[in-house]
Amino acid sequence: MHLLNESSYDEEEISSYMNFSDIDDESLNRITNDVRTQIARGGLKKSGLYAEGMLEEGEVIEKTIKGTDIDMLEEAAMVNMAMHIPFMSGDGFSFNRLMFCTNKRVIIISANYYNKPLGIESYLKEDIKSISLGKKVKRQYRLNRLFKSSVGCAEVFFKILAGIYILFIAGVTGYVFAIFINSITNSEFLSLLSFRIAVLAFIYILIARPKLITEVLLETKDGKKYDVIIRNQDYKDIHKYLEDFLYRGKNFDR
Amino acid sequence: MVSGILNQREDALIEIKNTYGRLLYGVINKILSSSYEVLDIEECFNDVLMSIWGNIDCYDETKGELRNFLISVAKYRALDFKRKLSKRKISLELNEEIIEGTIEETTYVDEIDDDAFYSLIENLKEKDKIIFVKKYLLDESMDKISKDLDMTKEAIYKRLIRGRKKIKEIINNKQEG
Repeated sequence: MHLLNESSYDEEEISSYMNFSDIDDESLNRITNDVRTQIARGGLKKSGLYAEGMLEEGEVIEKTIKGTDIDMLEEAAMVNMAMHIPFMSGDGFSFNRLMFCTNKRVIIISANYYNKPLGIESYLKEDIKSISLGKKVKRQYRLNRLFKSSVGCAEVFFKILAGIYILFIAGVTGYVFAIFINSITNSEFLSLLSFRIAVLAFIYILIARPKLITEVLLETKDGKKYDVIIRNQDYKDIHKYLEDFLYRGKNFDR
Repeated sequence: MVSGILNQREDALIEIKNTYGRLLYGVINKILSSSYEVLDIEECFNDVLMSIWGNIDCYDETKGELRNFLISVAKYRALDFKRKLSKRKISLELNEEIIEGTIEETTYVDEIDDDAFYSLIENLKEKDKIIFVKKYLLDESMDKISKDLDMTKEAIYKRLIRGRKKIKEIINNKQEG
């Protein structure tokens, strides 16, 4: 391919090619999305092969779970609301968690949008504290992650940025609510009270993350947490598999 | 854009699509439109984008613009697609120079696939490799090759003859071996 470098095309030739470019936006987008899916699948396959290379004798991969880190997903959404930039999809940010569950342990590969491996951890069953699923996942608070876990400076910066934006929205919401209450009751006290209640309620809703049906929270004994949304279509099957993952013997009937 | 693809940024492919998508489609469509369905052309376009994604590290910014490199990739893929679908192979025109006499019995392989092509030109000088790729893979005219490489047509012909001679020697040695 490097031999294809030394070519030049004059404007006449470029024009002749453009005359044949009768493709609509929809088809162009469709083909590009197909390519992105292929690339992601290729990345997943490579990660799978890497995980297979780590297996010990007698160890087999029973389930492959693709999850998306909920915190990263939310932060990307918040930043995109504040400013329209493609964010956290490559360049070292772990968007996906690829979990390879074997009969002995879980191999977790942190990967970017295209499933390019960025980091790898593995936990034996006895090193896992708990796995909770769906609505049984205990309530997660978004600020906990910022203060307790070690996060990079860039991540902290974007969280603060997103936080400022959210506080602004909370303030506006509270203000609108207060005006509404004031217009009905004509009471400054009630409108101030309703402003504070609205802001606090808004902030609580934002801090306390709602539980999701496809959520899986894996907690390890060394204090790490992997909180993901399962992207597999058969998430119910995955949930069923994970329910007794820690207590199951070495043989799993697929 | 190049560093975006190398770092596997999600938006890199979107950028390529927005900036060069139509041009690349036009290249493929021009080469394939006469005999192939829209689905085949779209499949080829898919291959081109995958090729760009997987081989962007081959682009050398000191040798030319990114646009020109991408057009060359699209041309190569489209012509390769055309050859595969019509079950034709690359014709190296070696038989043009069969020397009479001592090597009458030797049969030169004239039509070869891509892998064989690359392995045969591997032993040529860099400039000769480029000429062979332009002539036989990208199907470019002598005028264009001469203009791109800033060489006279005579000089290019000489290099082609020398290159084909060397390839024949390689084939001959392989057959004897």
